[in-house]
Amino acid sequence: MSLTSLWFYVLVAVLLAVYYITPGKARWVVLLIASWGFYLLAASQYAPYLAATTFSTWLAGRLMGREQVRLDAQLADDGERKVLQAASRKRKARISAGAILLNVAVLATVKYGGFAASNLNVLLDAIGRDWRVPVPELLIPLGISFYTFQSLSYVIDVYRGKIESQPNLARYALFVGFFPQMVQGPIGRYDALAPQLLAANRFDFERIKDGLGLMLWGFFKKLVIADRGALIVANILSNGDTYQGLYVPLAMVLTALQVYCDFSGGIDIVTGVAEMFGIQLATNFRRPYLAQSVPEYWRRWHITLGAWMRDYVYYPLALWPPLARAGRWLRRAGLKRLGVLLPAMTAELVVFAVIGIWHGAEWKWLVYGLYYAILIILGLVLGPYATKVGNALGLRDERWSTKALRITAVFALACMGRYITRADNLSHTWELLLRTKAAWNPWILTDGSLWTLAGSNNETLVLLAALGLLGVVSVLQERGFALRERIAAGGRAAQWSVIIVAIVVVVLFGVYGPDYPSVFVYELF
Amino acid sequence: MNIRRYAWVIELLAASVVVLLVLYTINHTVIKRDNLGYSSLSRTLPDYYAQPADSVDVLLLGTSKTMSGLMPAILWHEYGISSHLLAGTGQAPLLSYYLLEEALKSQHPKAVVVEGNMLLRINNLDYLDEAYYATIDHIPLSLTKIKLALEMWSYAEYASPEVTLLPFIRYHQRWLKLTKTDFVLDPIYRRSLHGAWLWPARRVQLAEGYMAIDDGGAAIVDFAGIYMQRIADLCAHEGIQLVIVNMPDQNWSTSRSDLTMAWGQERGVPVIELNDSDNMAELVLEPGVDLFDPSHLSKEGAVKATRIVGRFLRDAGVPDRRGTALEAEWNLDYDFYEAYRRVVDLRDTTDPGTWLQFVNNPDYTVLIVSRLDMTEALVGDVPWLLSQLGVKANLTATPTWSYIGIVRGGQTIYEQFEDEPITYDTDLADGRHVRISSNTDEPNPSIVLMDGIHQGGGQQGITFVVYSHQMRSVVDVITLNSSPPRHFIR
Repeated sequence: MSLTSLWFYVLVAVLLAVYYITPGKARWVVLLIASWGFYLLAASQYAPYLAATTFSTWLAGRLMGREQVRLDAQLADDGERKVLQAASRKRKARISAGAILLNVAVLATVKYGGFAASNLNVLLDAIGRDWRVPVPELLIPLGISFYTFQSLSYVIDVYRGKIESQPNLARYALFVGFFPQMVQGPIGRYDALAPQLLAANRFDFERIKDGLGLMLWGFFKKLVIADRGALIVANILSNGDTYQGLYVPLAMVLTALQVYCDFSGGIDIVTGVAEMFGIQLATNFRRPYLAQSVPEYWRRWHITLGAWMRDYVYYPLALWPPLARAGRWLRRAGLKRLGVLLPAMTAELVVFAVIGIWHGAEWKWLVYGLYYAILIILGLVLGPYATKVGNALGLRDERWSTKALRITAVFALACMGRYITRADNLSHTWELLLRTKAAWNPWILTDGSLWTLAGSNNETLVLLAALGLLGVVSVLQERGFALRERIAAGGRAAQWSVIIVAIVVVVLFGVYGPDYPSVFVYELF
Repeated sequence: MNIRRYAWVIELLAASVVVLLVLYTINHTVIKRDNLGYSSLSRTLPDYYAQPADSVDVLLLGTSKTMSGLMPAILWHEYGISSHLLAGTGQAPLLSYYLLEEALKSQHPKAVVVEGNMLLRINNLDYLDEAYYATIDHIPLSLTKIKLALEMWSYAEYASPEVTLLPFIRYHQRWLKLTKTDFVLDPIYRRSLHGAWLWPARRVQLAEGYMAIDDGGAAIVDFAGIYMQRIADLCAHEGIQLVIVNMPDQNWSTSRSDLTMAWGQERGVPVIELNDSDNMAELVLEPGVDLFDPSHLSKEGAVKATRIVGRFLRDAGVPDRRGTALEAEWNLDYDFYEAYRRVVDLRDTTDPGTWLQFVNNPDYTVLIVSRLDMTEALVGDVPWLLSQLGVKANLTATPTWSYIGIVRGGQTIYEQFEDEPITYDTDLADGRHVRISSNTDEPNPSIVLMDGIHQGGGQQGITFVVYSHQMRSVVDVITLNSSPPRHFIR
């Protein structure tokens, strides 16, 4: 059952009624049944994976919780605090490591097993070995990348003592499998999400309208912009002889916008649905194409994944004692700057390699991650020099022209990255770069050629108007203009007017229907 | 009770009503309809709903064989039987059943005629979506439509219930293609063909092995049998006489005939076999006259087949409605059928002389427009054709010209030719506004508009737009181009 399926919303409407009719204390049970019902309807064959992840991480949490209780009891009786704590920490580490390894192994097997085996076979072939590793052909369980990361964050947070373990398996299962978010995120944290899921959220019609508005905005981004843009991009890329030169970078610009609208649109839809149930999901996007640097871009794009990486990979790695020692050694050896940057650079490299490969089991995704790692490391290394050059050129941070220049540069780099991800593989990326070089045709910007790409002038006009609206809203939000609050302040008439206009726009101008199977890009990850 | 506490309920209901109205309007706007046509699947149900209550005594259900082979106008003209044809291209019995269920909401027919061939047809629900939706889209949202949607879904993957129930999901992208014709609320053709299709005759050879005694390989298809049984049950429940008719079909065989006969006998349902020797003696299907193709009758063949079916219905007790309040309207519909029959022949003509004989008729006004610089068009049959139509101007004497003309029944009503673009506006005798414009503006040089809607022109050459006063619409558009062989371009 897709997020763009009408039946999903019929289900949501029924659930809303059942949820708010149900006595407060039992409301979370409605969500749990709905979540598992949704998963069984959407992908019942993968339910054992979800069940295994849920149970194993819950069990790990419970075992660590009991360990903590035992430690507390011992500390009350015994004075050897440090020894007991160290022993307890070891036991907890073993439990959490077991749960992490198990779930990472499942994720790695189903998602990367085929990739690893086929590359190993290439390697064996290269070194002249006759035997081959069987290549598993496993389908990737729906939402596994998201719910695995979400449940691992729980295990690690329990281990770190940041949160207490959840004694009730059913309540925990709701946290792992909450239906709107489990397919494509955002990746939630237990301390922020679970209390909301388990609370007796009160009916608030204003909040339901807010959620509806956010959902419609998500539909607008997904169906009016992303799916329309995708058709144009496919048209350009599949007609290599016709569309060369500037057409290709334009396709990459459109891909960048399409992927953003697809993913953030999907997130808006699930956030809107959750909001109707009184649950505020974590923010996943903050206008990434208005970022003024690559690190800032990643603080605005897929925020929950970035934050997950920061908390569970980047910091542990950057603070890893061997790396710190290596940095000190380099500083003593006279490579002062390299010594300072080594832990950060290493952590960035690993984090972005993981982010890249998280998207899919293909070399292009690893290269995509490394592309950003290199950009960020270059930024770390060359940052001070770039600042000096900027100052020399009179580029002042507060000037709009400086900001516009930076925003444009970051956006251009993001579009360059799409040469890697939009291509079928790395050789296709190379082919696209060659196609870009094959013709010099800047006149297509002015001679009307672009108007025909979408099939008709009207289609192009709709796309441009929609992108224009998205741009205006983004800039207003960036400047602190609270659009949703302003609309709400306009009263019921204003709220419903906006909602009804949005419905008309989405229904009429959206790209959907039997000829357009609508899939969210990040559902596939 | 604190009313303010429940103000949200009123707000929600009011907003829901507005949203539903908006969606209904969008749905109604983008749905495929045929406001200017008279014989299309998308007119079948709207025409049916427009019939006065309890005015239809016979419903005709089936595939294209029934569409082309049975004529409600002939049933009326010969027997005074009021009928409506709800058949459609490749109609599956599932759709026939639900059309019958829907039809019975507004009419109480005495008899239902169903094509026997449907018993033997495989499930073709999974590829005829265009044809099915053209009919289904016009069924209002109701329990019948919900049941139809759910059952269609179980047989055809494309037919997800939301697409069947909410046509805008399928058609919303038509906003790009909407024209003025989509906003014509009052169909131009107020008269009805009652669902009939008139197909021209083709020179078709009678197939060898027709009605031969075969090996009995035919079988009733499960899917078809289920819904034909439901049709039989519904008719029995409503006290309606069900009649099975096997339409003339060159692929028909004795085993097929025997199967349908046996099916009818088991249920006490009479079967009219139009392929048997007795009926064939009356039908006398002539190649080149009565057949459109080996499995479909032409409009001439349909008259013969309808007479036989009509006689059976009359003998079965279906009343003669002549002399009742229905008569005046039905007679006008019959005249409409006759006019349309002539139009089918007109459109089937590719010979200028024959075509001319048709259009030199007081019922037709011919609107003529040429493109600039079409000297080459005035060769071959064109000058002769123009002169025969009554065009007075000596066009061949002017090397570069822009011409517009209006002729009716061989008489020139208006003509003008200049060395520059011409635009002429006028109202026809029945009040329809016409603009004929000869100019060089791309993409529509030289066009004929009627009430602002494009009717013809735009092609290289000289264009003739034929308007029928009886049918109140343009019935044929041809262009004679300047390139050999100067055939009609339709």
